[in-house]
Amino acid sequence: MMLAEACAYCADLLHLPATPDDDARALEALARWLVRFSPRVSPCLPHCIFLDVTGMERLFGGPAAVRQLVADALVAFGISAGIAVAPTPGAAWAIATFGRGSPPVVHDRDQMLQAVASLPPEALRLDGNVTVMLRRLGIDTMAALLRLPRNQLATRFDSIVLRRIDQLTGDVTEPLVFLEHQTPLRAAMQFEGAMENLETIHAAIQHLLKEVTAELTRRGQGARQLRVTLPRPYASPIERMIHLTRPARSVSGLLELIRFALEGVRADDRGDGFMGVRIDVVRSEPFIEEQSMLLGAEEKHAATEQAHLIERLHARFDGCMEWPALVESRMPERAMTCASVPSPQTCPPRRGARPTRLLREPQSLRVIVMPSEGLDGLPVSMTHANQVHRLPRARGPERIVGQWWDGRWKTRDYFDAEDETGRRYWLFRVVETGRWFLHGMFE
Amino acid sequence: MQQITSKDELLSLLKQRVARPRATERFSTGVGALDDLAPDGTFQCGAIHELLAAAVDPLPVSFALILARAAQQHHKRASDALVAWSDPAHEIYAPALAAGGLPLRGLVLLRPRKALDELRIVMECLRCPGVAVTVATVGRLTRVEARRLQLAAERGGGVGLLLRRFDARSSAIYAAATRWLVTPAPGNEQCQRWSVELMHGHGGRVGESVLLEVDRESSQVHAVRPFATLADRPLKATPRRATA
Repeated sequence: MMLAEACAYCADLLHLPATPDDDARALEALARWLVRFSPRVSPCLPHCIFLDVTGMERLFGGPAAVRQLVADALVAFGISAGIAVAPTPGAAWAIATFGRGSPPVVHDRDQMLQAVASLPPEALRLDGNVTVMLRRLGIDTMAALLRLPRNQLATRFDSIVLRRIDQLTGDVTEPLVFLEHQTPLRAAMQFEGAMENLETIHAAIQHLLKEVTAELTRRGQGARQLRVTLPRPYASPIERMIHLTRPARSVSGLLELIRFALEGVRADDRGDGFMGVRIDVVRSEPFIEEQSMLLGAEEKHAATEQAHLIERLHARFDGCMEWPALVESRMPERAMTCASVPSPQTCPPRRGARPTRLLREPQSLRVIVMPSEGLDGLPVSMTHANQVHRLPRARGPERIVGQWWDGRWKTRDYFDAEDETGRRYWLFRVVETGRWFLHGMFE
Repeated sequence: MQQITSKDELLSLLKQRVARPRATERFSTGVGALDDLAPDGTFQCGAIHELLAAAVDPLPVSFALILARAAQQHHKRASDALVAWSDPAHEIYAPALAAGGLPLRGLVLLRPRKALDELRIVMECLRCPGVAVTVATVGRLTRVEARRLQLAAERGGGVGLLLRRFDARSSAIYAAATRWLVTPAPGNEQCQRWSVELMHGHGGRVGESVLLEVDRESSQVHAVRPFATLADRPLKATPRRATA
């Protein structure tokens, strides 16, 4: 409702202008103050802070004691907050936000499931329309939602629902971004004038890398993520990010990766050049010195070489490697996703023949069908790319029902058809319209 | 790793290592008649194998899958070895590869943004010892590029499978240990068939072909010698040529 309407309802309503930036800064300040209870603190806008208190039992005397300390501290600040301790961040958020009657400290998984059972589905941190849909389907509590079979949830809603449920029960770890404590590591050099020659810039980068690696060695860490910035006088600076799979601090290795990343960079056409170089170590991790064994070194060699290959390809050719993963979905084009990092394979491979090559867009065909009583006529011949192929052998149909609630997908009958020369195609017919399409080839 | 208890044992082990030249690894697909065609009954690791198709036929992805699966299982660190598959058109369908027996955990799809980068990326993958198999589609190669690919494969120790079109213009220049021509053949209700002929391979049965059958449901592979070639052979099996 609008402010005027609210004032009309309630005459002495107190209202203040919203300041989201100040709120965010205040939240971060509070999170930094809470570092005294745990080194891993993660503020989540707009009004949530996660503290990872794993392993703090001996220091504070148990999760209940930590909770009490935090509660007392917040009361002293004059901040009203819901505080809960649970095995997973999702469960802790749910109990803290919605659990009026539940115990605020939960020790293990069974207690956690019991505690969240009576909470509403909003406790899963889902979008508004998803929760509206859940309520419309009659699911009012978390217990009812957790009882539903997983594959139905996967087809009915986006993957977000399953992911939130897995994060709540602890089957999938939820990544949290923790606050950093140390002074950032950076080295910068400014040139007297504008420099165009990339070789000179590489020499400058090598000099800066020596400083950076010396500081990393002093801290006992290796770099995982670097940012190289080249400021220009009359244009926005050029930035490149370098990602490493293992902490590294060798000058030559990092220099090679930076060379690859800056391969396509040229000075401006106007000849303005670059004013300097800056290197920031965005992420660093403890560096473990490994003693290389005389024998049995081949295995470790292969693993480090794999890591180096991935780093080199990422630096030189951005985004060229993708790791496929199977997804629980009946629609064939959605049964596979690609991510830029390897992900655990949680979905078992499905039975049923699938083509090795799946076209990105199904191509329209003209097909002659064997006449039969039902509507499952097998295709007898098809016309594709102005060529007629007779199909003496066809198997099917495999019916894949569309997701009608999305409003876009229709029911398809898939046929596995082979032509006279032995080439095998994967065709489908849209049941509603009767049109035929070619979706893939078994090559 | 064996226990070394004394300096003498260590010395003798190191001497053995130095004296024995690095033997080339070889792998076999386990499909009898197919292995029989290859030189020595096995496929060489640390080398390129070319899988060719005629201009009108589709590129033999399933045959590449059979060889890739065998090579990956043979690799020393089978659980961690990567299989790099080049897919610039975004058309490779991973569920089919998984059904064919290739574990998806180690599969990485190479999808270069620019077409020119594909060959360089393939060379980088071949050069890496941690990659068991690299599969790519290549067109015309210059002598320098073909030689570079071969050297990269030797250095990395993995298997390179190159899918190419078989015509005089595109595939005249090659640097592969074996070359196979794959043609689709009519199948039946149970299985899909291809005719696979060895075009080039020192010490192998060049010019002979087998009929490869892949079961549609279970992805089991059998190879059958076609009757026509058997009829011309004498009853006694001809001895194989000795390989270097």
